[in-house]
Amino acid sequence: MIAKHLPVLLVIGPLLTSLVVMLLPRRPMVSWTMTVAVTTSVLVGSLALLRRVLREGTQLYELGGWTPPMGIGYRVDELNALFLVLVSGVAAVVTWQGKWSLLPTLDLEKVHLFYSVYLLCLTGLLGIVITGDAFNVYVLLEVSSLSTYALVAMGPHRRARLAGFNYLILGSLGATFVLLGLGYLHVMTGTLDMVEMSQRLAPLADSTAVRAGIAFLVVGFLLKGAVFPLHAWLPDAYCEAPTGVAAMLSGTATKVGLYALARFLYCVLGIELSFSALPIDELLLLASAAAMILGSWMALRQTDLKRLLAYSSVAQVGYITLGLGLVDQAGLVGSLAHALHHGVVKAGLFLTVAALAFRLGSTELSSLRGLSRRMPVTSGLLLVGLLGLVGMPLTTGFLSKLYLARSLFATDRILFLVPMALGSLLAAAYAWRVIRPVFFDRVEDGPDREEASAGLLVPAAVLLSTSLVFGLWPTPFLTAVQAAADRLLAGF
Amino acid sequence: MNPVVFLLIPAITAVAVLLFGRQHRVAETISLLGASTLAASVATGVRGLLAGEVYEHEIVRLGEGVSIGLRLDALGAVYALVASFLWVINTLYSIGYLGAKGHRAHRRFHACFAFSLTGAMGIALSTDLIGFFVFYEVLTLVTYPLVTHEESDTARAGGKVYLSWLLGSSLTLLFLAVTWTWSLAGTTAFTPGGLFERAPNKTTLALLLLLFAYGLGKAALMPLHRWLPAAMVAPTPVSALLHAVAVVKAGVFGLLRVGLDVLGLDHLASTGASQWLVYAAGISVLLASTIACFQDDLKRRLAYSTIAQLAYITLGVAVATSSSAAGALLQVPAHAVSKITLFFAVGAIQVAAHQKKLSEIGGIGRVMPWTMGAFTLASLSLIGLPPTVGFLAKWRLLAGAGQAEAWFPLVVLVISTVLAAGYLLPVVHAAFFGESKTPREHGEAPWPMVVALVTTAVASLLLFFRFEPFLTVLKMLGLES
Repeated sequence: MIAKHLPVLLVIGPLLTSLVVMLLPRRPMVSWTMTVAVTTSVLVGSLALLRRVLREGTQLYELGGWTPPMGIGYRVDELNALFLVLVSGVAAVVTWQGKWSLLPTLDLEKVHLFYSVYLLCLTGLLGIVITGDAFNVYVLLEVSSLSTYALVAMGPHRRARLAGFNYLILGSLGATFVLLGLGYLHVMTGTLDMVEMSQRLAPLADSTAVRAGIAFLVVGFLLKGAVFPLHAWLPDAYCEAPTGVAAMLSGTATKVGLYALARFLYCVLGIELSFSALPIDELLLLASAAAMILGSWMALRQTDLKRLLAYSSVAQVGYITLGLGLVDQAGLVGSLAHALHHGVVKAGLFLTVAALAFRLGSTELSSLRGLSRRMPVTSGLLLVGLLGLVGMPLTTGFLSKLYLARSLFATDRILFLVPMALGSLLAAAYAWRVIRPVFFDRVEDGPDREEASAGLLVPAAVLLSTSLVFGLWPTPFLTAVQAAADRLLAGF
Repeated sequence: MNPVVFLLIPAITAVAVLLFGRQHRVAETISLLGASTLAASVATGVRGLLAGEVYEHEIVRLGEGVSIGLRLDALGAVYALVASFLWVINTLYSIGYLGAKGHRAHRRFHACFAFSLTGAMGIALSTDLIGFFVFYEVLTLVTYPLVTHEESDTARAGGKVYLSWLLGSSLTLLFLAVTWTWSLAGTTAFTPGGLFERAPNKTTLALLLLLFAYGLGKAALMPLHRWLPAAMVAPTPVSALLHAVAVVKAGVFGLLRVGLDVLGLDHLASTGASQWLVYAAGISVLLASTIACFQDDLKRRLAYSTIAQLAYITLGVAVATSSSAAGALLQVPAHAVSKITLFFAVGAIQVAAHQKKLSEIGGIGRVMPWTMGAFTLASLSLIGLPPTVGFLAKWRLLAGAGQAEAWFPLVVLVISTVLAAGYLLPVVHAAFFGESKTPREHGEAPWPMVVALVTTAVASLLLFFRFEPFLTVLKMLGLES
């Protein structure tokens, strides 16, 4: 019973819990415990689903027993199974830390509301990933976006409300674009089921309406994925949001936007339409080149750790879109591997920041001096995460860059190696800006050793060590990613 | 024997030092034990290898022609032997040196040192380019805390140059070389004779070689040599590690690996793709040797000498004949034992007499006869005079240049021999025949240091007379009939 309905339970579970949390007595611990329970179960369910997909192939699920295109169908293949694991994994681990990092900073009266909205956001993200219905993507995009605005605005400073508002405006714009695009495609194809839409779109490549629809759709997803130059909402949102929320957003929200982009470009529109009839690959490559260089450059110029990490996200998204624009197997492996790698590592880094901010009361780079003496474990985690961002060997980031570079050579896009290499160097430089004060600036008579509590550190360590484990033992990781890349290239 | 053992021994040593090494005596004992165990097991492994055994272990398969693993082969054996044996001697020396300096941060020192050996073993034993790259980067990262051991501002400035040049060159150029090779050949597995089924054209090959030669920044080929003099801020045992045991050797060993097992000497020779490198390496030899002659600071003098001596190896690969490659390979142990002796001697002078300039050490040979005697012997080996192992290397390099009928490398080798005498013999002369400005009231350095440096000096003699194992290695590689 559970096994059969697993796909829909992954979405319904958080949705119902979101309502329950809101209605239950206003005890912070009750809300937190329920959220932990449901996110952890979703993670377990996603892993089970991934296992099943890798063994048995694509899983189809018809909501309410209505066969698509009449009803809504969930299609779970290797690609979305992997992203389900990413989203639920990051969400679960971030929630674990919440008791020690988020609860102390929130208004006790609002904790149940916070977790209610948080679960709603998760519902949206999981739904976008799992659904096989195009309109469902839009609806859940709105669900996740609207709840994200609220989460961002709950940040500790008044500025958070402005950041949330900015995100609201840009995010609504993006969602509207997606809606418009889907509208055009629906008018032209008469269906909202992704598979059927992809079959009917092929002969319509020359239609102006279809092309306009695609343009709207792509811009909408690029905005949601914070792809340069549509990244303006990201730095403020990450910095002003509660750090736990930033971790959640960086690990899941942008990745889901990019997932939707990949799904539509490769599966719904098809490689022929996206990259031969339309020059979307060139567009992606140019945007990626700019993101890798300018994003890293801006990260290098920041004086605040959170802001540095936020701009680094802009740059790292560039690597993901680079692989999407290369349209070959190695490139897609690199792109998907990087999406998973960056989702996990950046979330882990934000959790680490949450741990150190708790002691230091600040995330300014200058306040990090001598941190390795004071908080050795936190510093070690920071180091692992930063090496991951640079793409050092023994982290999963190295694997993704390896495949991306190989693909650049194989597809004769050698020119794009320059921004990639430059981006790596700049990443090493901004990592150094954090590592130097933490490890190599000595503070005379600094405070004694006072490590953050295990509740703060263990979740960060779980995420960051994932990158190390799969960096050392890449076979299972790469097998899954390669299967997902093959799925993308094959179209559904 | 599983070759993973060679990586685990130093790694376990490092962890043990971190866990139990609070007292410096314990840390030293653990290090010495670990080093001796490693040297013994590498020696056993090499003995087995020469007897025809195969030690191989696949770590992980990435698919698409990439399987990262470890294998003890003839080429890697030379580097593994050099690194593991010199680790023992270097540990002995470090005990004396750190003792004289008050055992500052000894735990970090010994642990990082041991970890660097894990990196070195990985470099020696990797069966493919990607694995090699991984260990190459590991070596850079774990040696950084050693370079900045003093934690002074100058040490940190030097460390920054060290890190940024080595990471910068490898993360860009070497990374590109690896991925390009992968996409061209479809595999990255080291294959004797080169891993390309069909040789790429001359331009591609030359460009690949360019990326490798400068991407392997540890080889300190001019103009990417600046990090080496900058890293002179490191304590002497670390300089020995950089110059002799592991670090620069990782660069030139990598180049040998690339020449023999990635690009293929035959491909290089038949296309002439390595011609440019003959000139680049030759100029590097001459320039660095000349600069060395004008250095008053002894360590800087030796640093520039290293740049020149390493360029010999690059030159040997670039000439791309069997003899020149054999000479290049022999130059690895030859330079290692000689240069480590020279650094040890300079460090001993620094500890005993607190002097580090050529102009200050007049007459020091009379109070430190063992130290300066060893220095003299090592100098002769580095210049390439018989009966030292340096001669055997240089002789083959010369023969290789003759084989290729190339006049430029011949001239370079001859001139640079004169220059080597020019930067080493003045030190010997000043030590034995010079006069000190102030009366000398010190003797030899602490005994572990003296034992270490005399051992390595004798080794450069011993390798000349006990040369058969190297001959077998050269035969296994097909570089000598």
